[in-house]
Amino acid sequence: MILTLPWALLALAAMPALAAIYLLRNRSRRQPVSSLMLWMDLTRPREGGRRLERIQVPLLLLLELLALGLLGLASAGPHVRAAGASRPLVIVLDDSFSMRAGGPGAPGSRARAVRAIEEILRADPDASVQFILAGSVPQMLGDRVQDLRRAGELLARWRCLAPAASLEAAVSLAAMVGGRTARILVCTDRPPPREISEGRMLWRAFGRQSPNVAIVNAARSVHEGRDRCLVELANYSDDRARAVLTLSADAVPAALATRGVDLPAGEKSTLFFEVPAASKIVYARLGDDALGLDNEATLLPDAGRPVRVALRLENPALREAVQRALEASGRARAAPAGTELLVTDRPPPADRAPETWSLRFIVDKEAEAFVGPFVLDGSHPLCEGLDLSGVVWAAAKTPPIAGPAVISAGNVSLVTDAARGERARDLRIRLQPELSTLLESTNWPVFIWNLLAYRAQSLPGPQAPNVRLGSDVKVTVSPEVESARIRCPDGEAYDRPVHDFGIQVDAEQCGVYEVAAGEARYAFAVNALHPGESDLRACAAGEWGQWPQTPDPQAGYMPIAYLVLITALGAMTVHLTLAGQARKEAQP
Amino acid sequence: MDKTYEDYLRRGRQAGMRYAVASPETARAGYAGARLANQPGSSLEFMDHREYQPGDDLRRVDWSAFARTDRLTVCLYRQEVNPHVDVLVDGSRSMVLEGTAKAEATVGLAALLATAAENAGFTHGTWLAGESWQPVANGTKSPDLWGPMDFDYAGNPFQAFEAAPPILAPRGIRLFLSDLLWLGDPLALVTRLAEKAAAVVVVQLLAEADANPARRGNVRLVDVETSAEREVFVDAVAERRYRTALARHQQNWNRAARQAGALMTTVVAERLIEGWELEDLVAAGVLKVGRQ
Repeated sequence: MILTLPWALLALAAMPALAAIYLLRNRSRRQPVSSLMLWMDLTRPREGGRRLERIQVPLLLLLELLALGLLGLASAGPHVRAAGASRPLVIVLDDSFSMRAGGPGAPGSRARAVRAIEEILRADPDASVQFILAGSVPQMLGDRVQDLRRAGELLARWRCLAPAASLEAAVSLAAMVGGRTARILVCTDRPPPREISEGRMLWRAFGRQSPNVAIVNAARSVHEGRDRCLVELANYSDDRARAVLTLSADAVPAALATRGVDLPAGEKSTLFFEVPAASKIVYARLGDDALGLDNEATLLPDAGRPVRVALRLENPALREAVQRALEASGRARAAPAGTELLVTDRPPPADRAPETWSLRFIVDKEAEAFVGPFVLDGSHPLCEGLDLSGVVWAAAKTPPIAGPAVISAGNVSLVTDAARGERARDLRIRLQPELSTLLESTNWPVFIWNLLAYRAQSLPGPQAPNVRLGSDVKVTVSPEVESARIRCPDGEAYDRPVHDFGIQVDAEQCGVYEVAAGEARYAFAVNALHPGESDLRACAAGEWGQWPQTPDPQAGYMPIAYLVLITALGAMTVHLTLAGQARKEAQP
Repeated sequence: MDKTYEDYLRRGRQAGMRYAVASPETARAGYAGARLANQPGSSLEFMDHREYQPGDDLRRVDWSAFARTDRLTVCLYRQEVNPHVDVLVDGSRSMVLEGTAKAEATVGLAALLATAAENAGFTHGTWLAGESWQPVANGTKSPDLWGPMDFDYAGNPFQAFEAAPPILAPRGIRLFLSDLLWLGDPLALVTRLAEKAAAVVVVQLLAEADANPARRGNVRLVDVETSAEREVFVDAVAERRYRTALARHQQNWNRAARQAGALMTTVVAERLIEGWELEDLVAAGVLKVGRQ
């Protein structure tokens, strides 16, 4: 505990004075009496006494001394060390993967930052440290620590695998967590985006400007029986660079292909490869350079199967248009049994399977042509890529169709989407094909593609076979599965409960994730494909801002004067109560 | 003898010069005496007649008058009283309580009563309760000539009675001076005093501090007789309790005195020595103002 006004403790000198007054006032005086017989039924004195064994410290005196002492203490401005917050220091750690940059055999920015942090903590052993990871979203890293060993354990969890560093948000969080007196240290590999005013923040960058050739995009697709890979390379340096990309597969011992590329400074190059159909996992690798994480990409084939679609369309124009769009998408397969998507222009049968989605065309004979403006729910999967400008959409105004509108013309809903049970949706589209140009526009195959993709999202398996680092991947599982086991690329495995027929996986590591959900097995690959992190040309080392030269002596301490005052008031209240009772008893 | 006590005796004697012991109006019947009392008694000196009332001694019926008047009439005779006063003084330490006028009042009142007895033409004797009741040296003479009186007894007068009672004149008047502040049966002592006595007067002599303890706060009380100590917190409640206890104690003595045919009165030392006024005793008929 510290006192901001220690001289106020002089007030405590009143305590012995009060005690002396009590002793003098309550000292027993000798009184000879003729006989004690008439005094026998009197109670013993409550205060004071001559002999030591009879000394009784009166409660009122205790309360008065307590109140006096507390008042004296409160006036001295007591502060106590806040739990875990003495000399608070909040360290913001750049968790983006560019912090791994260092080059072969050289310590990366993260390693240099860890050393600097340890030096700071060694020099200030009283510091209470809170780490904050600045990834895509800032988050606290453990609780506050005050010893170097515990800090080292937390720093080991700083892995620098985030696709970006939200440093400004992390600094805001640090200021909020640390409080008014906290010092903030930012450990990153880049200079601050703006000048740092002198205050309590110290920005330290541990990066090095390095040339880096990186894989910034990678994809794999199967089309017409050909399994093809796309790899895009970028030269993030000020000089021309030559990169050698090697393609290999897990099922093939030798390299599938090796291709050298001359990349001008700051330029990109896209390479296409065709891989054997039996290749399950394809690896694309570059030679070593400053950052290793972006030198490799892992690609899995698109394991998603076509959506089983049943057509029940009587309108010939519609049937032909839908049939053509489905065939063009390559993602649909006619399936009379086990229908996953029913497309019809009649009311769908009520006894259809609970997982069967339906798209019902409502064809009105008396329709009105709308030329826009159309209102689209941009967040809906059906609307992705649609541009209805110039489209004539013919439909009747009434009666309204059920469900929330996805596309509407004014107050007339043209496409609606309503849930049916927990696992299916009923989509309705009001369209008079003879009077509309929608089927002839490019929006039609887009719409059908979106429809199939929307339905495919609910099929078991991951959303995509290859995702970028930092993505949230939803893996849909069978309805009977209650939990799934996830195995990360580093071998760590954990269980996650199924929610809404799926599990959410944070793609925090590069490599292949495996998901076991009941009897089914799924996999998806994660790659560090973030040009902003691969570009190390903006990295630097330095120090900006500074902490206060004279540390606030009250930093890490919280005032408790109000608590002491409340306690003193409580003591005085009890004193008043007891004194009042004593006066009441004393009245004849 | 202690000069102080001599002074007290002299003052008491001077104060007693204006009093005389009165023949008791409530003299106890049944014993022969040398002095006529003011109340009918069993002496042979005729005083009056009155109508017979049930319970009257049939021996006192005036049969002659019955023969003449055919009415039952009893003869009233004066009671006989021995013209002797025994002044019995409690010799315990509490009678000379320090810080009070109790010593002066005790010694002075004894001298006053002895002088009043002389003034009434009574003989007198003075007794002091110690380990036993002992006559005060020259206690039958004028108080000026009394021997030393030692108030150092740690017991109470009843214990002294048990040890060695005083030799008291039968049918005499017995004046007992004490503060009566001890635990015990008052009737036992008063009964002993009243044996063969014409009249018994119990004078409770208290100090002002005994009657009205004025000191408040924490007090260490010291019993002057036993040296026992007790620390008490004296406040209004304690004072009220003390006075209640004292009143109860006095009621017990009064009740015992009435049962034994004795008279009890209380005087406060400090008030007594102010003017040696004994209105209570005069009102009770124990003393009368002026010589016989």
